[in-house]
Amino acid sequence: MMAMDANVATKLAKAALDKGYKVHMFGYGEGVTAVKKGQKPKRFPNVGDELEQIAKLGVTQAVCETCFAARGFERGEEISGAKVGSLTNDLFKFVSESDRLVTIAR
Amino acid sequence: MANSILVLITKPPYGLEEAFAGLRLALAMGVNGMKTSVLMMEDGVFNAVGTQKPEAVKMPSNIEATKELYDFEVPVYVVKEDLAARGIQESRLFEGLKVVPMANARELLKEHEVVTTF
Repeated sequence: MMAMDANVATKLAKAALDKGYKVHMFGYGEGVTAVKKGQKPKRFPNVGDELEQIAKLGVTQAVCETCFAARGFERGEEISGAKVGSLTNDLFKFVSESDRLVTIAR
Repeated sequence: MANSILVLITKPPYGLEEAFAGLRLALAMGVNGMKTSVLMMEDGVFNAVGTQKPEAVKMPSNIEATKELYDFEVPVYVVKEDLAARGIQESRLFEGLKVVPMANARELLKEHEVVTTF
């Protein structure tokens, strides 16, 4: 994952978790690439590994299936702890359950 | 627990994915019954032009994606000053859009519990 956005989101999620907040993360558009398993960046943090780690700590993660498929990925290519889901089910549920919504994008 | 969402569309259509993605997100929220509004602002106001021809670039229509919101009573607002700044006359917009001055846009921000930007 070359872009910094996913790393920033991951750090923010971890910080919120450490403060006792419940955290959901949803990947949309280019953001879905953050959950692609098997990432091997040479000069950047491995955001896939970082997302797996915070998933184990309780951060719920889902990405848009349409966006994932549009980039040539299939179910099963996502990291452990992330769900290939949908806007109407997963994102709606995340937003409905949240008091705050943070969008990290360019 | 959020019961309302305002989706800001700040990017133009077709060259970028954001505007269509934001409209689809708004649809997902509206379909589920959440109070949802869309505000086109900055370069996002280019999505309001009624003479778009997305078929020319083989892209899905942002006009159709916007009109689908009307079926779920999701209002779509366009910032008046941002239209004027880009030389877009209100007569050029497609039907159903609500042109509002920036002052009203600020009120919209207050009226919704969460805001997301595309």
